[in-house]
Amino acid sequence: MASNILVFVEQREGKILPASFQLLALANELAGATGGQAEACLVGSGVDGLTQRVAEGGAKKIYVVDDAELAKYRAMPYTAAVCAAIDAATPKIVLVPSSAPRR
Amino acid sequence: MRILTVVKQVPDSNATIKLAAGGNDIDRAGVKLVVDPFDEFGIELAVQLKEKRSDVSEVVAMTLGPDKASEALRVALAMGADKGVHLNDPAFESKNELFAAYVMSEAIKKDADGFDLVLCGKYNIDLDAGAVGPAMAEFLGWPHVGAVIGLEIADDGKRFTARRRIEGAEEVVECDLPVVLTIDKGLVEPRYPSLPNLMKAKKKPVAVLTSSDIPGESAAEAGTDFLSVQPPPPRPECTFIEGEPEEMAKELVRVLREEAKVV
Repeated sequence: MASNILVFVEQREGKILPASFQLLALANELAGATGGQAEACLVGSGVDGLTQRVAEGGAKKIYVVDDAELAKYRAMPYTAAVCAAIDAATPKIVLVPSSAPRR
Repeated sequence: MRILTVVKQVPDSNATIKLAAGGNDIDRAGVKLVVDPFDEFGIELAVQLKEKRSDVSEVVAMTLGPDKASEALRVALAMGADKGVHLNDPAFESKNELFAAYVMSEAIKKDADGFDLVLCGKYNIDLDAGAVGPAMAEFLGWPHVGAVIGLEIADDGKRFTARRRIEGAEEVVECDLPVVLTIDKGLVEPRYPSLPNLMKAKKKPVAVLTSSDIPGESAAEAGTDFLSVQPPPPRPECTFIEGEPEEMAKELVRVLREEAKVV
């Protein structure tokens, strides 16, 4: 039974949006209740350098989807990337920031 | 080009909201209901497009709700929509936005003449979820552009450019029709329907669809249920400190230390 919490870490031009860290904190709280761990999904182009910050934010495992096609946010490629991470992580809950591009 | 504009009847933002017995809904008795102000942007945009473009053949307003929701359709018709579609069935009554989007998308698919543009508010002021627009697009298999503040449709009516506001920036996107757009404040200023137009609106046709037209059981399962709603916490007590700047600063430090005990 899945018990991990997966956070979609939102970055724009190599900068992580603050709401992502709030969600990582929430994910750690929820993981306490589900008996799992907080994990993160990081999508973009050349985002490897951000994993350190995401780990510091509380992610125990990070799924990175890195491709030149993902340099700019577009709904369908990002959806495909996040779905791939969800398939790999099989989490109990997925948390996504309620930011404007997500609407 | 045929345009569909989605309207929802919501409590007026000045209304005093009380909780209903059971605690998972608000008490609607005696609450003034209005057309959602964001949906009004959609109606206004649709009507302006019809006024400006010769290729817009019809503007249809659609609502999902009980008998009373027909008032919202009448407002849309008075603002200039040509006809209304009222999805009215107890089986449609749900606060589940995914379900509402499913029912409306089915109604759109069943429309014999088809639509090229579906408009609705960025979100509704009652539930603030903003899910109906994107979910309708998904059910229709159409693209969706959210929170639009600028729109240029090409003369051939096939392609458009939209501007949308995101945190700290503005996005410009290009896309083909058909599309679902959710409209943000700033694109258009909704008109007040004139009295003659309010009278004319009473004669415009409204089609009522029920669950016998749209069987809606399949999509409801994946949605959410409301367990409870709560009023926002009361505003904490506020104390004004008055006097000369020096005295105010001294008093503030004293209050923080001795009364609030935070420093």
